[in-house]
Amino acid sequence: MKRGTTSERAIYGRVYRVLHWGMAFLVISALALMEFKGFLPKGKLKHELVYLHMQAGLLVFSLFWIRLCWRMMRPVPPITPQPSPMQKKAATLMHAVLYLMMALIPALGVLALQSKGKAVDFLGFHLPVLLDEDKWLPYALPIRNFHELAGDLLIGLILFHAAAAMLHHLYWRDDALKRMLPGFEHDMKEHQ
Amino acid sequence: MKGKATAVFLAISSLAALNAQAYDGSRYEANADIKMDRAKAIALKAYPGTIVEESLEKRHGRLHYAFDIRAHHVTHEVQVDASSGKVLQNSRETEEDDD
Ligand code: HEM
Repeated sequence: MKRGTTSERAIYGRVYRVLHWGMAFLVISALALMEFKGFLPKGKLKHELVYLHMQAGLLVFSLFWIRLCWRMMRPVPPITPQPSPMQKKAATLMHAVLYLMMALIPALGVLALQSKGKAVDFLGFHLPVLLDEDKWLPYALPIRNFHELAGDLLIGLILFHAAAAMLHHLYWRDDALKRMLPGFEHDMKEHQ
Repeated sequence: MKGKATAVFLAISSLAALNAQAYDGSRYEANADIKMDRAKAIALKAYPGTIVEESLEKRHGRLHYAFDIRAHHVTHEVQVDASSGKVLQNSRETEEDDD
């Protein structure tokens, strides 16, 4: 396959790249806080970690909607050299699942708490109560388990996503990863 | 390539699945004389309501089940010894052991 010339090659816009890495940081923080929590005894510190976990997760949920709009409004810069149609399909599917998880998991976290009568704070404000505990209490534990299972699954998806990026970069030697990095604005056109 | 990618995906998913547990501390289950179902029944007798959290914990080498049970808008933390089945604690949950 012919390598694209500089002028045809493109990277993601700055806003989208900041959203990608910022949200990656928040999601990984949320996950790391929970893994770390397992080593602590019950108490104030543990309580604080869970609080931070919720704030990071709710930030992800908020940014998700901005990111979704951004993604749908802008063209996705093509990869050079082009991957096979099968790879493209697999990537689209994987990205769709990652998007779904970024919305679903935090939402389940909030619902898990509200269904057992816990108020959820975001940056100091109470979130509106979506599930009434008198009706939803029996579902509190299943929702929580679903939240945790989806979170654990997400760890696998993130590892796979990162492994795919490395394969693109090191093995197929295309520009899939470069499109998402800072510093290539000069030799590749930036998609706003 | 398809096969390789699928293999990597399966390997990673099973790692994630291993990390996921039926309940917190279920890795200790084999060492617990009292099983989860029995422990649940004991805890619910001590404080009838809905279980909203369940785990098996190890403290000073001893295993106990810990449940959060909610009834009439009040949550109790109920602990059941995993070898004797004795209720070790049954008291209103504090702000701190709340999650
Ligand atoms: C990016 C978003 C999020 C991810 C990836 C995530 C992931 C996880 C994972 C993997 C666990 C299980 C930890 C374990 O196995 O013990 C967990 C637990 C939990 N999450 Fe989330 N979560 C997110 C957002 C939220 C939000 C927004 C809330 C609530 C506002 C929340 C509330 C909780 C609670 C209450 C627990 C249980 C904590 C405990 O065991 O004490 N999460 N989360």
